[in-house]
Amino acid sequence: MDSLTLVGLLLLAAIAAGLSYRLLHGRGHKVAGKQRVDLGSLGATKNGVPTNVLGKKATLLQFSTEYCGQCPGVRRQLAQLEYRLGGLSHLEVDITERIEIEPNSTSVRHQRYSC
Amino acid sequence: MSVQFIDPRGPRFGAGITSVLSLGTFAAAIGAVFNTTAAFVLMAVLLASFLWSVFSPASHPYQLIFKKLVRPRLKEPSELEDPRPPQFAQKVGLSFAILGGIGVALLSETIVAIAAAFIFLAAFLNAFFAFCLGCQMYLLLKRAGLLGK
Repeated sequence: MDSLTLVGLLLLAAIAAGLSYRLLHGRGHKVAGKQRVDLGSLGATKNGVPTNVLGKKATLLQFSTEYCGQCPGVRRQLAQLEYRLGGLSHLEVDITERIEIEPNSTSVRHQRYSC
Repeated sequence: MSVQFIDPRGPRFGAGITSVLSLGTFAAAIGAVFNTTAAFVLMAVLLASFLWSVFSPASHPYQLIFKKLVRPRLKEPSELEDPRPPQFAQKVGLSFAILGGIGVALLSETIVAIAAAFIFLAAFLNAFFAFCLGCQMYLLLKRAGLLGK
């Protein structure tokens, strides 16, 4: 293969990886079936205080880590949503030290982020 | 322990320069542009740059350029970030640059090309898509408890 083509391929691979990241990142998806979420065992907190009370209409459950860059922004947006719309409750689960909670595990994937 | 939060665009600016340099290194190493000597010199520059940013991130030339020339022209950052994940990412970059340095020592274009390709991918994604691979590694390893407190 021509070596210049190889440079182009590397560049294309990087752009493709970046675009697919952008496409898949933060995308919502539907889940089949309902599952009751146990806030107590997840260790959900509201403003830093442990809670197991769901919102009246819906619960926004945010999973964050201590160092994550987007978490504060998401936190502000969800808190604003909670403030503007009635019946919502914005809760958070800090998964920094909780390796058992995997973003892709069924227990978390099946939670409903309904609005 | 309090940590001085940083403007996330600082590391991304540095990654932009690194991605250009590493693409040049890759191209030279496989003989598309310049010659192999250029590839070895560029890889040595990359290695020096990563060493600098791991041992003294605040005094790194890229960050000085960013602070003096780029940041004053940008809007206030919407978010400051914890410097620990990007600093860990620099260490990951350094390990690939060390691999490249070994390639230079062995006069092996192949090793230099492979190291430059990995550095380019990570730096490019960070600079242009705000996706920092090393930072994600830091979060995962931290959660797995492999990095200590």
